[in-house]
This record gives sequence, C-alpha cells and structure tokens, in this order.
Amino acid sequence: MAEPLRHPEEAPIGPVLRPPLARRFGPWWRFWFGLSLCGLLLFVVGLLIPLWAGIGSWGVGIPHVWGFGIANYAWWIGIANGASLFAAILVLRQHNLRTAINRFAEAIAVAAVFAAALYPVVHLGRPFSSYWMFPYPATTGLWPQFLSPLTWDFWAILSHLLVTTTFWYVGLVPDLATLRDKAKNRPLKRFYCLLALGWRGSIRQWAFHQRAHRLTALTVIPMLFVMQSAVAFMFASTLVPDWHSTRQALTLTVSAFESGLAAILVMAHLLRRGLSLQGHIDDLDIDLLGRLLAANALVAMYLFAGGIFLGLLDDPVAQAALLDRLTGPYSSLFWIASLLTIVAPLPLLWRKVRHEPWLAVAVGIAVLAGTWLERVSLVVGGLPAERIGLLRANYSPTAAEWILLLGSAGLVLFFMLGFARLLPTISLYETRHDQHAGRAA
Amino acid sequence: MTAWLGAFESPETLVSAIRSLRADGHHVEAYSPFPIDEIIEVMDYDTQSVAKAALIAAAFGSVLMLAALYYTGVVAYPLDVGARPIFSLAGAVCSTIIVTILWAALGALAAFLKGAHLPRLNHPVFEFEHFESLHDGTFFLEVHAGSGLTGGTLSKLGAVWVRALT
Amino acid sequence: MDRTDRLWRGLSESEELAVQREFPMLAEAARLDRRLAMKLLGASAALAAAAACERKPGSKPSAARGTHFGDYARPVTYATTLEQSGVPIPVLVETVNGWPIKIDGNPAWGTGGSSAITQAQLLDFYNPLRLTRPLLRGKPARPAAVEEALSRLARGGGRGVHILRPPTSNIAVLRAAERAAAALPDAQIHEWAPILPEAPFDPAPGSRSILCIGADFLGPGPHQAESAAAWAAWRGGSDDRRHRQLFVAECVPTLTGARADRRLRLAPRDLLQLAHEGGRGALARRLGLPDVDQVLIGRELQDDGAGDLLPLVAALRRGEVETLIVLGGNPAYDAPADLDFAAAMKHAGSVIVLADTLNETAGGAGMLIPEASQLERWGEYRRGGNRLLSQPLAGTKVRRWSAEEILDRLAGTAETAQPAWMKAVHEQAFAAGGESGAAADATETGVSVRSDDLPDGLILVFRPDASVWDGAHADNPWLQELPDPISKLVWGNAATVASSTAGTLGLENGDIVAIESAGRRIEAPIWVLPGQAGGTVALPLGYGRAVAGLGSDIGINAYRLRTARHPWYAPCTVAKTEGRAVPISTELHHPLAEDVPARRMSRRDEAEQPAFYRQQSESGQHQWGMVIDLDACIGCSACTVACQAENNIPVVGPEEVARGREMHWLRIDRYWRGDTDDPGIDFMPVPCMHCETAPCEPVCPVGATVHSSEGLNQMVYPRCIGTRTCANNCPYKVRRFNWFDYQEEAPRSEQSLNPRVSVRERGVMEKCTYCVQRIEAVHAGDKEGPVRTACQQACPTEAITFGDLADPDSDVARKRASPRNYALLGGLNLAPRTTYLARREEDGDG
Repeated sequence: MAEPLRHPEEAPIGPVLRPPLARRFGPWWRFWFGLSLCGLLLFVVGLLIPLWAGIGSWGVGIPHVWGFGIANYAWWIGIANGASLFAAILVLRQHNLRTAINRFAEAIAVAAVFAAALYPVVHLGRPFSSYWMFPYPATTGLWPQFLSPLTWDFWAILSHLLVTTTFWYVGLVPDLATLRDKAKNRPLKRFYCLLALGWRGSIRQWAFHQRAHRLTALTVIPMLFVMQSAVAFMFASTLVPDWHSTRQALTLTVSAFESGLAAILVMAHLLRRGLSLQGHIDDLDIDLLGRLLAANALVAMYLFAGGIFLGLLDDPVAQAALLDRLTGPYSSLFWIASLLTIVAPLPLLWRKVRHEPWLAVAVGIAVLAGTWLERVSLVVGGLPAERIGLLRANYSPTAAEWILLLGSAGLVLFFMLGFARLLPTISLYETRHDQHAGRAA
Repeated sequence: MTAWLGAFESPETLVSAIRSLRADGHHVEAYSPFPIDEIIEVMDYDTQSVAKAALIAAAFGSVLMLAALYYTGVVAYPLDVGARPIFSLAGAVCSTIIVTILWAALGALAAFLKGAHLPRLNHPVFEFEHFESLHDGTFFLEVHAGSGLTGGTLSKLGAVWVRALT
Repeated sequence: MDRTDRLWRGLSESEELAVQREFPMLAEAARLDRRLAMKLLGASAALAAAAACERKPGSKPSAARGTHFGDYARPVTYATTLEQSGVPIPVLVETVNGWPIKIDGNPAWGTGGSSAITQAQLLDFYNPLRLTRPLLRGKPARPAAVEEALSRLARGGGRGVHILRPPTSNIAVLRAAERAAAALPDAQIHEWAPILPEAPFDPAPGSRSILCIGADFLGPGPHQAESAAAWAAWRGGSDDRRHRQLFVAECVPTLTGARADRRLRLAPRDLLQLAHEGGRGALARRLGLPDVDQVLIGRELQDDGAGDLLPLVAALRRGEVETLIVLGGNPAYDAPADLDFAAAMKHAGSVIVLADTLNETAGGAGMLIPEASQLERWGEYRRGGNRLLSQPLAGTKVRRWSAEEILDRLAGTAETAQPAWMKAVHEQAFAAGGESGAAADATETGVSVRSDDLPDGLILVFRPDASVWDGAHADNPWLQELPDPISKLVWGNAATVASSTAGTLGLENGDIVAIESAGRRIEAPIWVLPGQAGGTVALPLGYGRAVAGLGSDIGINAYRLRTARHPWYAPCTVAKTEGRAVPISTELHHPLAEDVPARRMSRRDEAEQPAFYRQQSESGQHQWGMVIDLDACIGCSACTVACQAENNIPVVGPEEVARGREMHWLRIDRYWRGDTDDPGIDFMPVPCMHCETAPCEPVCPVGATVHSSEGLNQMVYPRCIGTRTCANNCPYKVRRFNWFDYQEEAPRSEQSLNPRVSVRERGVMEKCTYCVQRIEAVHAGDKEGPVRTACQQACPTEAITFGDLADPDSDVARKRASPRNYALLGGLNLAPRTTYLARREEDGDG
C-alpha cells in the first residue's frame, strides 16, 4: 500500500501551515479579535449615523464640505496602493529572491480597499442613489457625467478593488488547494474547496498560473499610479487654489506608497513575533522594506522642498493658498505630517535601526499617522480661508466621524485577523519554490 | 485502467522521467506542490495565450469605454455642462486607462482559468486517496496506459511507488 | 479707485479666544441651549397640529410637496395694506387657493420694493402659535363670552376703564375709538409704543446736500422701503451725473451711515449738541461740515414725550383701574423698566388683552382675545393725504377680533367691520377729498431736540433691531435667522462696543459683561463693532423675550434697562464677568479668494473707463443675466427674505448657522473698508453667478447640474446624490446643501409654500436659480411678463436688474455696457451672468 511520503509538520511550510489548520488560537488572538469585533461594531454605528440622521452629523459645512470622509478614504486607499505596489514588485522580481511575503502585503491592500471603498458612498447626501455613478440604461435616459473626476475616481476604485482582488486571488489558489486537502473542519473544508476551484497542481496549471500571476502583477503597477492620480485629480481639477496644482498627483502617489510600505513593515514585524515566522519573513525582507521606506521618504522630501519652493514662485493666489496651508489654522497638521513622513523614516537608512523591531514598528506607525495627517491637511487645510486679515477654522470633526475612522481601522483589523486565522500568511508554494531554487543554485 | 500514477520523491527524478517518457512519445501529466521551472520548460505549454488574452481584452475595454463616452455624451443625452465639449479625449484619458487595465487583468484571469481548465472540482486523480500527499512534497507523474507502458516502466524511471488509475 | 483700501470682514484672529478657534463645536455646545433645539422641534409638532385647525372652508392644500398637479391653481394676487408700528404699507399678496404665499410691495406706490420685515410678515399668518380661541382665566372660552364681556363694559359707562392701544393710522380704529370715547365718557384711552418709526426720507426739492444727524432712514423701520426708493431717486440713477452729498453723523454704524458720502462718528453727547444747533453751529464748523441744504434729525434725538404710559401706570398703582383693555402691543415686555408695567397690570381689576399669540402681556390677562391677522381684515389707512385700503385675503373659521371691532363693541354698536366703501376695493387709493380734521403724517416742520444731560462715562445706546424691530417679530424664524445688515449677527443680539472701548475694558468678542444703568443690571455678550463711537455700548431692543414661541429666551432683553427718562441714551457702567458666550455671526462665512470683491469707482474713473462688454446674441433665445448696482444697494436684506419666501428655503436654527450651514440662497456680504477703527462699509448681494463656463457643472459625477440654453445654471434636485463637489468648485460659495432634513425638522405649513418651487429633501444641493419658476411661468403663459426675480422685485432701490441680455434695449443689457460693470472674481474667466456695478465714490473718503 502506498503511504504518504513526508511528514506534514516538517519545515519549511510547517509554521505557516499550522495556524489556518489549528483548532483554536491562543488568548492573545482572541483578545485582538474581540477588539476588532468592537471595531466592527463601531464601523457599523459610524455608517448608520449619517445614513440615519444625515451628513450634517459630521462636522462638515460650507466651505469645508469634505472632511474626514474624504481624508480617511484617501488615506486607506493610499495604504492599499502602497501595499499592492510592494506585493507586485515582489512577484515580478527575480526568482531566487524571497517573494513569498507578497501574500500578506496584498492582504493588507485588499483590507484597506474595503475600508476605503465604503467612504465615498457613505459621505454622500443620498447614498442610496450612488449607483447612478455606474453607467446603466436608466429609465431617465441619463448617464453618469464622464468629465467629472469623481466619475474617474469611481472607475478607479472599482478597478482597484477588482484588480487587487484578482491578483491576490490568483496567488492564493494553490494554497487554497493545500488547505482544502489538509483541513479537518468540514465547513471550512467546503469553503476552501469552492475557492480552490479544483486545483490539482498539474504542470499545465502551474504554467498558466505563473504567467497569470505575473501578468496581473504587471497590471497592478500602472493601475496604482493612475488610480492614485485619479484620487489626486478630485482635488487638482478643482478651482481651489491650494489644490489646483499639477504636483498633486505626484505628492499623493509618493505618500501613498510610503503609507503602504509602512503598513507592511508594521505587519511584517507583528507576524514575525505573533506567529513566529522569523524563518519566513527573514532579515532580508525586513531590510528590503526598511530601505524602500527610507528611499520613499527621500523622494517625499524632494517633493516637499520642491512643492514649497515652486509654490512660493507661483502666482499670487496659489502663493497665498500655500501660505495659508503653511501658516493658517491647520498648519500644525501640515508640519507634523511632514515631520512624520519625511524625517521619521530617515533613521531607517541605518542598518541597526532597520533590524530593531520596535524602532521599525515605531517608524511605521509614525509614517501611517503622518500620511493621515497629510490627507486631513489637504482636505481641510487646503480650502479657502479668509484672505483678508483673518483665517477662520470652522471645521472640526464630530464624534460620528471619529467613530467611523476607528471603525474602519477595526474593519481592517478584523479582516487581517481573519486572514491570519484562515489563510496562510506567507505563500506556501512560493516558499517551497524558493527553497528548491535556492538549493539548485 | 486508463493511466498509471507514479510518485516521485524529488523534482530532479521527476524531470528526467518526464523527459524520457516524452522522448518516447508518451502523453504525460505531472503534479507538483510548487512550480518547477525545468518541467514547465519541458512541457512547453502555450502560456502566451494569457498575455494575448490580456492584450485583446485591454484593447476591447478601451474601445468600449471610448465608445460609451462618445455614445452617452454625443448621441444619447448631450448636455451643456459648463460649456465643455460633449466629447473630450482629454477628459476620457483617465477613466479609459483605468478601465483598460481592469479589462487586461480580468482577461488574464479568464485566460488563466481557461488554460488551467479550472474550475473543475472533480477529476479522476482525486479518486486516489493519497493524492493529498502532493502537499507534503510528493511529486506525481500520470501517464496514459497503452503502447507498451507498464507500471514497471515508471519504477525504472525512479518512481517510489506506482498505482493504476481507472 | 483707492487701491490702498483693503476690505475685510471680521476682526483679527487675536481677538477671538483660542478655544473658540480650535474647538468651535465645544464652544457652541456650551453656549447654545439644547432647549432651543427642542423648542424648534416642539414648535414643529405644534405647527403640524395647529395648522390643521386652520382651514378655509372649501380650500385644498397647495401643491408644493409631492406632485398633486391636479390640485394646482393659478396664483392670484391681491392688493392690501399691512401696518407696522402704525405706518401703513401698501403690498401685493400672492395667494394660492386662498392661502397667501408671498408679500411684495405695490409698484403703484413706488418701486414695488419692500423691506425684510414686510417680506417676513407672511410667516406671521402661519404662526402655529396663533391663538384660535379666547382664553378666560387661562381656559378656552366661547366667542360668546367675549361678546358678553364687551357688552357689559359698554353698558357700564366706562368708569375705571382704561384702554391702551398702539399708535395706528387705521381710520376705522380711530373712528371707533372716538365713538367708544363718546359712549364711555369715563373711560380713558392711552396710546403708546416703545419705538416710533423714523420719518420717511423726503428731500426738499432742489436740495443737493443733506446732513443726517442720527436719522437712520435707510435703516429698519416701516418707512424703509419708501425712504430707500426716495433716496435712490434723489441720488440719481446709474446714468445720472448729478452731484449729491449725504453727510451722516451717528454714534453706531447704520445703513444710512454706510451710504454716506461722509460719515462722522460722534459720541451721543456731541450728536445731541449738533442736533441742538440744527447742524449749522459751532460744532458743525469744528467738524468741518459745510452748509447743507437740509438737515434731518433722528427720532431718538427728538423729544417726543414719554407717551401716555405714565398716567396709565400711575392710575394702575393708585388702584383706579377696574378694567384694563390692551388692544395689541406688548407693554408688559417693552414698557420702560422703571414703570414695571407687568407688576402694575396686576393692580387692575381685570385685564383684557387682544393679542395674536401668547406673549408677555397676554400672560397677565384675565381674558385673552385672539387678534385677527392683518391679512384677514378690512381697513382704511391714512398715509399723508391719501388713503390705503386693506382687504381680507383669507377667510377662516376661527373667530378673531380686530381692535376696531372691540372698540365698536364698547361703543355699543353692533356693526361688523365692513364699511361702505368696500366697493372701492379694487382701487387701492383715492384722493382724500372731504376728510378734514385728521392730522396728516407728521412732517418735520419743527422738531424739538431732547435735552438729555449725559454725564461722562459709558453711554448705553438703545437701538431698534433690523430683524425683530421692537420685539414684535421675535417669533418669526425668517427674521431671527436673517443676519443683521451691519453686524451679521443671527438668533440673538449682543452689546456692541467700539474697538477702543473694548481695548480699554479688556473685552473680546463673546465676553459676557454686566451692564448696569439706573440701578438695574443685565448681562450681555460683547461684540466689537468697527465704526462705533468710543464710550458707547449699543444694545438692540427686541430680544430676550420670555413668551414668544420659538423666539423665547433668545438674546438679551434691553428693555430691562430702558427707562422712560432715558429711552435712547442712558448712562451705564460695564463690568466684565467670567462668562463667555460668543454670539453667532455670519460675517466670516463663505469667504471669497479675492482682495477687493466690492469695488468702488470715482466719477473721474467712470468717465475715463472704456466698456469692454460685447453684446452677444444667440439664436433668438433669451439669455438671462443680472446686474447688481452696488451704488444702489443699501444692505437692507429685503432680497434675502424675498428669496427665502419665494423659493421655500428652510430655516436651520442657530446651531446650524453657527456651523456655517445657513440656507439663504442670496446672501449680503458686508465688507469693512479701510481703517480698522472707523471703516467704511460696502454691501454686496451674492446670488448664483450662473457662469457660462460654470466650474460646478463638469465636476458632478451624475450630471445633476447642467446648463440651460437660456444661460441658466440648473440644479436638478432629483438627480443630486450629494457629493458636494460642486460646492467645492464654486469660488463664490453660493451653493447650499441640505445637511439634515431641514424641511422635515422645522416644517412650514404646507399652504404657505410656493407651489411652483419644489421642496428639497435631505442630501440635495440647492442654489439660486434666477427664479426659474417665474421664467417658466412666463414662458408657459401662466404669469404675465416681464420676468422679475423675487430679489429684483423686493429691492426698494431697484439695485438688482434682471432681464434678457440678448435684447440690446433691455435695462440689464444697457447696465452691463456701463463702465462701472465688473464681474466678481473676474480673473477666473468664468463669464458669470451676474455682474456688478461698482459703487460710486466721491473723490475723498467714503
């Protein structure tokens, strides 16, 4: 009688395979999961408040018609973009370098896109009619207005959601098959079975899979640039002096990548400790992440200096708008954001800092906070304040907006914890493949 | 009996077995827990179709988008929107590029599913109860019976054990 | 143009508390009473309930909500007369199915313009708290009880009967009062009002320079529209080159001072002295005033007597009053504080009050009689040598009384108030032949100036309020939400001081101070008002009412310090307290990214400036446009309320206004010009510009705002999903958003809505539409042309001109060709259809 040849607990995939198959997780995970459920509840409450009472329950008004709603949306979508970019780069690189961590990088991207995608719907005055942005033959005969950057943004979000999910899913299929075969829990087994689509692991399937995985990764990269530009165009194509700048797309794209990398860095360190994946997320990966983040900060520094320099040389209206942003009521947001996104990652240029987990996590969190402040500074601080004599701050976020922000973080946490619980956080087949390629080399 | 299934311990033995069987003109199918570049080269599938499908889908998507913009703006319900042109290529650039990329990704996905013959939840090889050991690092080789092929052939090529599939 | 003049809208940042700046929400939540929100909500519930009681027999609700187009009836316009503070104002009232929906001035009597208060009086008719039945000792009674009580009094001979009525020009009332006085020889009739209106502006023929000492004829009051029209005519039209000069001496900035060619800021003592000299004495010379052709002296500087209240209160306190009958007015609230009328009323044997809603005086009544609305009465008013007639526009099943009815009952006659001349109802006026003996409107032949001896130190200046006047309109939500033309304060008042006074006393906007005068003390928040004379504290009257429907507990009651001896200027002391409550002002809302939005042009520049406007003519279609003449705009805000009435614009309440969410489609921006301490004032009405290359249109993702072939920027309410990106892209900030369901939360009686304008729901953007419903009504033949927008119709000085730009002979096309014409934010090249004519400025200071 034939017997199974290898023991399933053997390295290298053991530590990665064990968590999804485990019957139950430890107290720490349950604590964080419980917290994320609270966050999810906050999210639901945060969604319901404006739906029930009206958008007036947020602190928005004239002229600050967009507040946290759009700032948080831009922040989450930036994280999603940056994480996707890193994942796509990993997939497209040479074979003999570790690419396996693209799995959780892309998971962060998917979670962040979900958190982001609801904001543009919920911030509407009449969210139940938001489907009008989709072109379908309506009885009114009306179609969406394609000149509007918000329509471009609609397509951008839709596309980002689908492309990111496709990329992630294509990478997941072989591992879903592994879980399908290994899982003991019947409903879970059925779940994996359906998603795995009957993957057998034949060479034919592998050939097409590799090609498709690389191709989808290839499509992700230009999509990210255009998508983030579409978000920037929502601002840049208006008449608002501070927003009406061709540099907007560049600035937002660079800080988006930075926030995505920071999210991955934080997540990587957490996974290393939480799931003991030091063997899989090894020092090379951490090093790479740290260096990328530092490099990104240098680019951001260039853009920051260039932005101020060119802004001061601009026409008087734009100049005054820039000065408003730098010295007005919301200037503290701008300066703290710049500090956190440009100066904070610079220590990562030193190897020691990169490999010190708490420092790296601190830098990552700082960058995330900095990019959030930068978005808020853009949305709120960029709008025209009084030009003569007095700058008046008349936007301040209400409890409903904070609840939704915390709730969206709770949603992402929930998703990531679920991901860690149910799916292999590192790509199993790629780990094996890298090991094989490493031995052959 | 339709096919012989052999289990191999290492990818190298699998590769040489495949090479010799193919040299003999047999139709083989191999299974592995991770993609092995040498075998993929040997098997020589037409994976270009994925890229071709993506390209065709992208072209189709962009034409469709531009046509939709033209139709809705000029034919179906032209409106004076701030005295802007009713069809503007500059205004179409952003959403067309985005949608093009979307179509490309979906085209690649479709081509992948088609080429990999997925979804197919049942397959004779799943009847074999130890097929699951694939995920523990076993490599399988499936060759159709006939033209003088026996289980011994596979053993000689390096299979650790051989089974007959019905 | 004086390029060194800078325009600014509010005082500098340092004068606002850091807390207010960083956490405006907290500050407002601390100040504003939650009860107010509840009251508004409660009033809405009462609205819904009470409106149902009021039904005209056989009438159907009008089709403003929903699509009951089958019920639509063409609006019918009636001419009638409203009376404010005893002054008759001829109006045209548009009604639908018998329900009045819009009040405007009657063009037969001038420009057809009106004042903000006249426009807002529509809501008084629909006030849900209007009394519907008499109250006897607090309990509802039958109308017969009133008739019985009055007949009993009629038989009594009038001993111990004192009647108090406000001044009126209603001939029926005056005649009935004579008859009652004859029938009840022992009765005494008193006449009293807290504020007598300013005389109308009436320039002597040929006078080219006028000195105004405290006479705010362009300011709030019943004569505002009439005076503004007369002033505009005196000053000359846009093509007129006549040289007119207006000098204004005042201590608190007013609308008249804003339009002065030279404004003198004087302390009250100097004002009085100047008035004593007749404007031509030593003080005038010292101030550099030339000899003028005419001098006008303000009402508050005149010695108009303390009114008839003193003898009445004395009689009350002596216990001589058995029956006190109050025929309107609210003396328990606005009588001089030293008389303490509310307490004195208690000495009367019985009190009968005629009032339309429950108010402070009605609260002390033994019998409360509901008063008929002005829109429900016949009447004949005296105006100069003419007669104005009023007719009822709405019948009602509810039995209400008018003052003349009650006087007639007391006189023992049983006539109903339908005089024989109702045949002449279609002619609104006829020459007053044969009527003699009646005094004409008092014209200033000789005035006696007050001889107040004002000591050194702070002087408290009482002012009527542009919104609530003397407090009568405190329950009118349109007026409460209307920003004061100068200070832009809403939903309340504040004690205003000059910056120098604030500096001396160490005060900031929002500090609560204790003001003491004549042994009485109140607390009020401070508001720094540039242009006010130092050493004065100005307090608008009419707020702080205790019983005024939704106007209760709003603002500070200045009447508590107002005495019979010092009704206008009183010595006072001010002490800072620990409290803070920043009044709500809209002055900083809707900022524009423009250095000089409101322009002025000197006559020399005007002569030299070429006009660049090129006439455009489309294919025979109308091309609507609007020109607003800043030289004619006085800032009275009648257009704002007219727009609100015409377009069913909701009232949002103080908390929402504090967040910048007021819904007025047409706003009046007020700019201070020049010096921080004594600046000039520019007013700028800002409606939607209807830009030809509108920036708001291409950014809407669903195409809810598009452009019509006639040049209108259209807002399609059913298509709007509320992204608000159009509001972002509008540089003029004219777009308004329904952040909450404002119409639901503070609903108006459905009959009061304009059926031609849809009511917007929550989450929908709205803005000025150039009154597209009127344009379409004229197109459809439903209304007679020419098309006039509501704001154009309401403006007393005809500052707003609207019409067809494609017609080279139209007024608007000609005005656009004027050298004074400019576009706001013109550098953005948006080609707005709404343009402005720069204000004329004499070479010198404005």
